Order: sequence, then structure tokens, then C-alpha cells
Amino acid sequence: MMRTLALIFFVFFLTPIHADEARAPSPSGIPVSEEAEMAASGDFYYTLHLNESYLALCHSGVELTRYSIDSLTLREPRFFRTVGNAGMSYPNLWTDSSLYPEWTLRRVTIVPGDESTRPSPDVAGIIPPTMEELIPVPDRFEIRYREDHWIRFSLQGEIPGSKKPFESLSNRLLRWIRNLNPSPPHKGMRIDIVLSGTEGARLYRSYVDHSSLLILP
Amino acid sequence: MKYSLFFSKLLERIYSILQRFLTIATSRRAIQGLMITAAAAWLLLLTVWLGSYRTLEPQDIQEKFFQFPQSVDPDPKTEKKMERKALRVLQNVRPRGTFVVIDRVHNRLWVRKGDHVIMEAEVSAGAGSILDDPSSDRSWVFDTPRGRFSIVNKRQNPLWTAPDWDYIERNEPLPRSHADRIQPGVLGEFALDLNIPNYMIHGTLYSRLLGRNVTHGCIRVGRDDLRVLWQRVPIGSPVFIF
Repeated sequence: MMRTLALIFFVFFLTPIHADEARAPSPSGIPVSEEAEMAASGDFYYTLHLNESYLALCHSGVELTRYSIDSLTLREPRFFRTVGNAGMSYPNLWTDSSLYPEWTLRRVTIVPGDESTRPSPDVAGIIPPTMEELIPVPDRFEIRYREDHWIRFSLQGEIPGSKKPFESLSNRLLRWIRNLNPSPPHKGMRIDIVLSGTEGARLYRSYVDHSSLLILP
Repeated sequence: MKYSLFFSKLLERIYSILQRFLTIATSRRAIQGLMITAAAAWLLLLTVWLGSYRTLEPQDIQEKFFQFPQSVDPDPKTEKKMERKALRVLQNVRPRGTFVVIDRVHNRLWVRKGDHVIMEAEVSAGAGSILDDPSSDRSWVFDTPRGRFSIVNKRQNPLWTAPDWDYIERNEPLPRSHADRIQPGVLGEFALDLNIPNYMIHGTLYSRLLGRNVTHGCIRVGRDDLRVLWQRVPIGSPVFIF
């Protein structure tokens, strides 16, 4: 019994702490070098503006679109705080993101000669679906980063284009179990973001996988 | 008489059960078991508590993300030099003049110069549908590509050379000559070619479908908005599609 307790104490309190100290911001507090690095990468990236409460999709140093945030909470794993490393800092550049649950597009297969499946039907009465109807948006989703940091999004209000189909009790139970999302404990920090249904759906439907996130003051 | 006998036996039985329970409960083994259970419950609670998250206070955020780590020596000269270099990089990659931004999911287009929006328009982007050729192994996915592109050519009264998929989609035989594929008027008054073959921003015959995802990958724009694009967007302008 004593040996087990000693082992638990050892595992909990003597594990090395991971702190990314490689990146230093400029004296002004704004990490310009990281932004330049992202802008020159030729890829899409996101910026999270903590004080102004918005997320932006950027490319080549240009802010392409903004997503207004209703509320934002930063959380760190209690374990790392408890072991006395209160001065630990986090990197403000998070890389290689992945969206969960994954973005899926219900693609229409064109049947040759069938006007109802053609993208631009010549028959006036046929209205083809939009991406809003073809990409279902969940009311909660996550973005996970390589550094084990993650963002949890909760959408409030109506989600445009999302029609909730009838769901049996067993399916609802399965979905609930899936939503529990059992995963190993994260070493990294978590940001909880609440968005309106419109903004959240916009973000989810246009999300660029494997993109980076730059956190700005 | 019968009843009193029954009750006395019942009381005896209850008393014996209680006596046995008290003997077990006060035994050394039972106390050990209780202690182990309590320790296990305490460890479980501790694990759950340590595995949970603690909310950061606003005053902690600056310290957590934007402070110099102790191991880095903030030499002001070096830092200033690095900042200037980074700003130069930013200036070089940012578009200097007019550029186009397209949201292919929500079918919106903006013509911008810096942060100033010159024009906003409702457009049509790729439908994302799939076409398989029943007579061969060929297949097409009608997506609008995502990324940074640029305008490489501008054409007035452009002609459209209909590709194979247009005939397969209509279930019509492929034309024998190239000349039979050329269709005037389909692309509207103007076409702005992107630096990816066969993708362009052009006009439409289907203005009723603007705002919907109905193209084979190109961006269709309404007549009036297309005229503004023709006038305001020069060749070489960047086009960001997300």
C-alpha cells in the first residue's frame, strides 16, 4: 500500500513540465516575427485576438474574414498548476490543427441527363442545394493542435442551414456517448469559446485543416 | 400462544443476525477493507481534480503568453532588428494594390484595397458534386479550389470551349470538331482568368442561381458586379479563395 502511494506521489509530482520557451515575443508584446513567419508560409492561418475577442482567418498577412466571439475562457490543466509551476508560459503559436468532428460534405452525384442532379439545371423550378445545406454543423466542436492545446467551441442560437433530422433514442444515446469523447488527459491548455450559431457555422464550414493559430493580445 | 411463540423466535433471529453483523463490522479485516476503500475513493477524487482545468484570470493571460521566458535574454537592439526584419517580410507578402477575397462556401466576393472594401457581391461557387463518365473511367469533382491565386488574363466577350463533362452531364454525344465546342455568351461580358488552368471569374446566364453553389469550380458573378471587377481589378491582382 505504502509503495503504491509512493509511486503515485512520484508520478504526479516529479513529472517534467513542458514549457515552450523557444519563442519570444517582441518587446512591444506583439509577436511580429511569428506573424511574419505565418504570412510568408503561403498557407492559411488563424489569429485569435484576446482583447478584441475575435478569431480571424488570414493568408499572406491579410485578414480575410473575422468571426466574432461571444465569450472566451482560457483554462490550464490544474495538475501543472498544482505542482507549483505557476510561472509556466505557453507558446502563442499552435500548429497543425485538426477539426473534430470532421467536416463532411454530402456530395451530390450527377446522373447524366437528370436535370435535378445537375449543378446548374436548365429547368427553372429546380433549386440546387447550397453548401449550407450540404455541410451539417454540430452545436459543439473542437480544434486540436499538435502541441496538445485545444479549443472547444459551443454554438448558441440557431445554426443556419442545419436541419436536425429525426433521431431515434438509441442513436441519440450513441451520439451522447461519442460526445463524451474519451481521450487521454491533455498537457496543453484549453480555450472555451462561445459563438453565435451563424458565426460558428461560418467558421466550421470554411475551416482549413492543418492550419496554425497565432494568439495575439 | 402460537403468536407469542412466533414473535419470540423472530426476535431471537433478529438479535442473532445483529450480533453476527457487529462481530464482522468490528473485525480487523473489515476495518482494513474500509480504509482501503476510503483511500481508493480519495485517490480517485484527487485524480479527477488534478485532471480538471483551472480558469485563467485576465491578469494571468499576459504573463502566460506574452512575457519573456527567463532563459531568453531580451537584448533590445537584437529584438528591434528582428522586429524590423519581420515587418519587412509582412510588407513584402501583403498585397500592395487591389485584391479579391472569395468565400466559396457562402458565395460572397469582396474587392478590397488594404482594409477598405471597394465592392461586395453575391456570387456562385463550385457545387462540390461528382460526375462519373459511364463510358470510361473518368470522373470529376466540381470544387472551387482554396488558396491564394492571381489574375493572369482579362478577356472581353469571352468564348467558352465546352469540356467533355458538359456533354456527359447532359447525356449528349461528344462533338466531333473543336469548333463545335465553342460557345459565345455563356461566360457573360468578361472573364478574369486565374493562374490555375480552366478556372476563372466570369459572368452568368443563371443570375437566378447567384448565392448558391452551382458552378463546376469557376466563380460566377452578376452582370453589374462583373463590370466593377473588370474596371477595378488589374491583371496580377491576388485572389484569395477560402
